Amino acid sequence: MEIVICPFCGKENQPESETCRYCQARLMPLKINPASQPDLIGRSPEEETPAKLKEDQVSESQDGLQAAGEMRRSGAPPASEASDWLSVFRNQINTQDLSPQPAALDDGPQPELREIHQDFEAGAMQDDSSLSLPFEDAGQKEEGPPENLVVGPQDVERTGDEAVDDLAWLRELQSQYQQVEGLSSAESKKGEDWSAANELSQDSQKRGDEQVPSWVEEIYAGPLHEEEAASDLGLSPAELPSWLDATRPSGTHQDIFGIPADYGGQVEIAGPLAGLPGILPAEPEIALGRKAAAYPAQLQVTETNRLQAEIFDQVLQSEGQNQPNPDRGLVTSQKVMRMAFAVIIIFAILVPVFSLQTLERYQPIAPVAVLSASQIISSIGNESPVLVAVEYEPGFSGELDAALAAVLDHLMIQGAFLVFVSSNPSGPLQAEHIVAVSNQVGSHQYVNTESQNEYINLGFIPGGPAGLRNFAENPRLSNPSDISGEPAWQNPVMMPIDDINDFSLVIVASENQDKSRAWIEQASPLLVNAPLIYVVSAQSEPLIRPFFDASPRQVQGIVSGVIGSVQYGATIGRQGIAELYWPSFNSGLLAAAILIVVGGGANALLVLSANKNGRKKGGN
Amino acid sequence: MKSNPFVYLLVAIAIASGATVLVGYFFPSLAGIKGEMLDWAVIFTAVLLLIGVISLVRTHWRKIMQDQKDRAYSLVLIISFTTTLLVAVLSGPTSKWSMWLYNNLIIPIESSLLGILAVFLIYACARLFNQRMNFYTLVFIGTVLLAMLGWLTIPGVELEGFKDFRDWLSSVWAVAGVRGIMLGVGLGTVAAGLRILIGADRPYGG
Amino acid sequence: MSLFDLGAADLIGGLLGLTVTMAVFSHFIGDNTAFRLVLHIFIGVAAGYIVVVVAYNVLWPKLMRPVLEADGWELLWAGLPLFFSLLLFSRLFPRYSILGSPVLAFIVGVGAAAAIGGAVVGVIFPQARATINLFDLDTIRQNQGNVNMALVNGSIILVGTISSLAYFHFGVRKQAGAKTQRPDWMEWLAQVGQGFIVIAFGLIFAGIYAAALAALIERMSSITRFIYSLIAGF
Repeated sequence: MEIVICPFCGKENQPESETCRYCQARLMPLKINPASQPDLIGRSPEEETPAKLKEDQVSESQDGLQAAGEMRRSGAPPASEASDWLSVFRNQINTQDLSPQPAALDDGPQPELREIHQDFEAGAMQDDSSLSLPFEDAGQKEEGPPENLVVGPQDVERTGDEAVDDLAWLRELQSQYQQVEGLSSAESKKGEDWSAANELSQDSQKRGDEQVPSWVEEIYAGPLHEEEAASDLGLSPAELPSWLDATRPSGTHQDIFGIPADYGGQVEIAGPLAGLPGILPAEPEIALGRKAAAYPAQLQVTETNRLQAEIFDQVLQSEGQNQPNPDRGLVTSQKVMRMAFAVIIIFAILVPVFSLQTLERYQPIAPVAVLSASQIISSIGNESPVLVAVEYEPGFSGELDAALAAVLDHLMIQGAFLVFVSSNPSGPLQAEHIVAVSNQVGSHQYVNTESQNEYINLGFIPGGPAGLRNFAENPRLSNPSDISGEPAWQNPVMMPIDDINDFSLVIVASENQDKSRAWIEQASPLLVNAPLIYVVSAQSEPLIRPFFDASPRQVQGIVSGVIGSVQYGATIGRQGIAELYWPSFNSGLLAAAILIVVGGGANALLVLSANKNGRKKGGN
Repeated sequence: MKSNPFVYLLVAIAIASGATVLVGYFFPSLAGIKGEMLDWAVIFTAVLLLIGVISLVRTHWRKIMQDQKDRAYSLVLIISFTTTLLVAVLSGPTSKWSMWLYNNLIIPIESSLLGILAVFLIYACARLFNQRMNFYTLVFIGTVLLAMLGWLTIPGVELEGFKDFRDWLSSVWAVAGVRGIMLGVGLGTVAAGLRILIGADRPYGG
Repeated sequence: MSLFDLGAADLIGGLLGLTVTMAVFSHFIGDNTAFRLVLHIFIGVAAGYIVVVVAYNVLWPKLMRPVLEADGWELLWAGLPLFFSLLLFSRLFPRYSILGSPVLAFIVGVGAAAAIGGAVVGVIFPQARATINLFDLDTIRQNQGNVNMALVNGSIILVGTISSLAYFHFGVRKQAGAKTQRPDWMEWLAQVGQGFIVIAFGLIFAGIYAAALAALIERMSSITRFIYSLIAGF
């Protein structure tokens, strides 16, 4: 049995069906009333007015027009050439069998088409005025009838028996058409024809939605007569010119119009066609969401780059991952080792304290830096203002108290007037602390009271390097009062001082390399006459040494740490706190050296043996 | 993107103030205005210190009020802050009671924190052998041992050679390295400062 | 009679010092409550001292007293720092923090200029001159040193200074198709500089240990003295 496959949804339909019963797509082209067909196929709607048609019937405008006119006049089918395509085209429109048959289009006109053509010619000669294709008046008529032309991409497959060369089938179709006329007119209302004529008459489609256009009725009514006439005339089958045939899409409609393969199962969810399956997608292909093509991204990277990228990726991944807490036992090997180190060092510190035998005292040979400092301080006169910048943190009191106390002890013996200042917030308090410590070292008692004024605490200099520069240039403006808020510059010793160079000596006691450098940067350029001495922690000594070794010297003396304090005390012949610390200090240093050598060696052996075992296991 | 005109004002202030002070370093005629600007900067920096402390206290206060974790420690901090404030304000910053607090709390705590560092330092040095062993590690450990031996006195052991070698190392080799670092730091400081003075860096916002 | 006269202050102070020292030393075992408590006490006390020192030493004499003692046009000039300082307090409130930005910009500008001036005048020029003067024969003779040894030392210092600077130089020229790295001669120079830097850091490390050891000794000695005084007292 002959079946027709719908080109849109792929479902099977009856051969006589004009529309698909599933998706309502047209299976057969719309029938055009030959009486309403012009001979002016291809003209713009503005041009193709009936009056113009009459005027231009004999004139040329396009090839098809002339061909159509010739076809009409001659009543004979035109030859299959480019100029005659219009007549052929018209013939095809006029017949029912407008769907292109592969054999039919390429070969000569089919007999039935020949007959139809003759009918057409006969019909065409009846009334020229009515010779207008439905769409030619799209600009004027309310309904711009979409033409269901033969070149629509209808690809109706016919299986089963071929159509017999008999016009009886026309009558049969006529009856069928009358049955489905109502349905067809409704279909035409929806403007379902998506052929090329649809593009030309978008407006007409909209207008067509409102009412059934009259031409639809003509189309279905017309062919009944035309077919009979055509059969009588024996019209030759239409021949498509080769170029027109070449425009026929080679692929399926799905490929051409980008319809997804599975669209038939999709149900429309919006618009007037909501709920209908297999409807053509309302959105153009471009709007259909599709997964973008995955293009391989092959970067040109070297092996090193790849390894680095992997490492970086691992680091980034590990950043967000919760690392499992290691099983922290109460006693681990590392903790045990650390405790052992602590016990050994503390034991080494305490043994000289409790043992009757002490290590050999340090026989100092004072370095040049210490000697230079002691010589400078020895030249300080009585009540000479000496600026002492206490820049170290309280935590370094153990080391720097010992070193600074030795220097302050010497200054107190010289009778210098001490002016304390600090860029640390805790510095003023540390200054008071070191004065108390220095008083304990020597027999002198430096106090700062209303009656006795041997030192003054100018307090805190905020602002870092800017503050130091401000103080160095104008100490009266920078620190107008002392730490207690009382005016500081009324003392007779302080009155002659206008800038930092007016001090007899400047001493900076610091453990911090940045603060030490800040004083050198901001104050030393202004110190033309006044020497600058540093009392520093042992950790800062290598960092201050370049300033001492410079030529000209930026720092005139350095006393560093416990060692420097011992050397300084030995130089001036006075024992200080450092002398008390020295035995424990010596033991601690010795213990540390032994621990580094022994402990490090043991660790190295452990690692070597572990590597060896690892290599052995790997080799096995 | 539309620029905020307020940012231009900030940049102009930074550049103008910085340029004035910098020129004042090299031209004494501007010493007066430079001194005034430095003084103002000093005052503002002190106020910023105060603001920092207020922010610290406010953070811990919120921790207590919002019942967050470890609020007990915050309470201890607030109490010790308030106590110190009262003692130092009522009796003076360098009074007997203030110094008592300083000598018996601040100095012991900081000294102890530094003291336990001694153990951790030696432990870390010993572990260097199995963590990262290369030529420079050997040089580093050798220098450390040499420095310590240069300070030591061991009965019956002559270490003068170590002392002289340590002094030479300190006065020549270490000075060379540190001088290079100092010059680098100085150049970096100049570069960073110039970036601020030309408006490339804006740590003040904008 | 005060606690100080009775010696009770010393006793309590000693006990307090002993307690906090033991609490900090407990960190050898691991992080614990006592250690964290002591840390928070330390922060609180230090913060309190900062407020007092800043208020007594800076805010009162430089900000408040000039306003109270000034009159007329001087009052306007003296009031300006106070006004700008009050603007700085807006930084505590995120919504109004922008009010303090101009003052911050002023501070940053002045600080940057001071840093630049100090670095150029205090470090770069003098240290460069010092490196050059290492080869000044007059200076060597003035210091009564061995000229040959001084020149050798000077050469070592010169090479070390340049190579140390080279170690921190990471600028490379990008070349198409070539690996982005320093030139070979720069790499060799950086390796030499690394050696000098390692030696300097070794000495610094030894110094840090010496400072920490001194602090530990100070703590141990104060504890032993306190315990000894307690025993002697009984």
